[in-house]
Amino acid sequence: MKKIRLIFKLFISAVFFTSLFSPAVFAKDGKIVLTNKVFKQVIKKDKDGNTSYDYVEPKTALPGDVMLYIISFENIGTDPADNIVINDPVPNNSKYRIDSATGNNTDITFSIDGGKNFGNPKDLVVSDKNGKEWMAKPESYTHIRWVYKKSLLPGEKGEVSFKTEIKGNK
Amino acid sequence: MIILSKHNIFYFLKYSNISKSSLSVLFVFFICLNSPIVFSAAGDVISNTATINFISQGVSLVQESSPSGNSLAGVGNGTATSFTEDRLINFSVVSIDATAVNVSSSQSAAFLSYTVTNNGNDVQDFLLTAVNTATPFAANTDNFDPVPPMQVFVEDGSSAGYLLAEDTQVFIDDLAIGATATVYVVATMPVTVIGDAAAVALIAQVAEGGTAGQGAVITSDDNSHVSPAGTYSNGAVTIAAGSANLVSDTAGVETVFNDPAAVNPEDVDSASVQDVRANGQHSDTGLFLVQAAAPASVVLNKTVTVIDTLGGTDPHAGSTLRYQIDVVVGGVSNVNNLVITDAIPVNTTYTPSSLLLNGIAQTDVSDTPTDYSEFNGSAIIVDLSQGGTVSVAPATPNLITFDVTID
Repeated sequence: MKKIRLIFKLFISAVFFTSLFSPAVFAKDGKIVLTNKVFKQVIKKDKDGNTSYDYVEPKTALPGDVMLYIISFENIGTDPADNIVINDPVPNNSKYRIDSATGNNTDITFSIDGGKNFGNPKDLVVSDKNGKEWMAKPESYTHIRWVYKKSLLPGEKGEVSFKTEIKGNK
Repeated sequence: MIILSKHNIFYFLKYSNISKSSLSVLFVFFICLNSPIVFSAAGDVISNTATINFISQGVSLVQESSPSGNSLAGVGNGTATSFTEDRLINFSVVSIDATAVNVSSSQSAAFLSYTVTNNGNDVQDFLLTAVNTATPFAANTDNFDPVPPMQVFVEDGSSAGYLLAEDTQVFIDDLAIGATATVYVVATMPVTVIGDAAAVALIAQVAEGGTAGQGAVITSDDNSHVSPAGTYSNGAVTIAAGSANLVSDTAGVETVFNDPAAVNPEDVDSASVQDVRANGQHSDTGLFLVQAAAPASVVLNKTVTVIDTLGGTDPHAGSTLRYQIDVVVGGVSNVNNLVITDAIPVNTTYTPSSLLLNGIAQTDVSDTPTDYSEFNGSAIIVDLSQGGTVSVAPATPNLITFDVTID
């Protein structure tokens, strides 16, 4: 806890320090618009009876429902944004759905320890008392991280997404 | 949100090739997870805020997300993307008697056992009622109904099985998420015949939970599914189910009846003979089966005593052999047409007028209704059923004695 506080303080002072010397950053307007929208996955049938998924505003959200989170980021500034990293915790009452995280030009990693450490699914290993190792189940992921591999130029927009399932019996 | 504590579980977590670092890092550490079973619950707000870190003009910045788009830098300037978890009414009723419950004709306090399990995401009450049904059980056709009224009681947890003194609750009060209650349908059997069967369904109707006492019946959901209103009666206590939509859209939390496929023909509801999907009721059916009592049996125990002419017990010519036959009916049922015949042994001669039944002298001739015993010249015959007019009760012995002399 102390360590976290220390880091936080350093971070605050860094922001404060840099803001003293760059008024543009101190201004309320950031350079990126970050939007997070949630949709509910529903099954849609066309007139031929074929089914596909549709994503709608969640009017009802019940255990077992699959939710889609779409996070978009747009550079509205005049300078490129670099070293972009997006972090998102898996929401409460929800479990991450396997292979659902997407994002063009990103490396996607996951955490199973509350966001302290991130790794690829195959590297997230838990082992039981008997020493047997298991790949961590996707529903045990606590955080998702997208590392954007490019510069986001002014006017450019990127998008990442993931799905969850609300915990509980259907 | 409800958290059930569970044993601490130790996990070893191992990470390798952590992407944060350009170096390949391998480290192992222990964490102790007080691993709780967390049930998500109706009314919970499920919220999510993403964070973006980036560098612009050499400056590190952080921003949080908002549903409509946030451009303000800094932690705390975002708005969570959130929605409320709605209430799913989801429960099951299961007959837990492995086979038909064996009963006997006119038996009182026979009971069928069921479980009601709350698989939904809110605490609920459940009203209960038992109905006669004609559900097809493969081996047994329903052909009688228990004596009305059938009663329904909830197991109080003290001791298994229905007990009059303990199990008095007539509805399930505040069944927690994931919890199961045991319910008994208690009934008296009419006069029946062996092999008769009575199918009885327990119907559970969902009601509002969370406060002590019977909650209002949830008679419809927010998908326009309607629950059959009605009366829930356990015989002793009648509970009116009400008829209004009492809870639609309460506090922004929608209520939805789950909608399982109604494929089990044993399921019924209080408004029809067949289960209706998504109506806030579930049921299952058990079976009372009138069972054969233990098969009737008659036990004959025959003993012989020698009375010789000298007053001893030496079986020589002229000695008397006194035979005693104890006749006892086994099982629990009376026996009809019970006639005992015993041939006089070779080389012996029946002693006239020696035949006694329970100490009472019987004539040797066939002279019903003076008595129902005789000596027919070669055997003694005792008709304990007195010409088919008397049933011989179990357990009480009848004693037959007669004498012969050795030739």
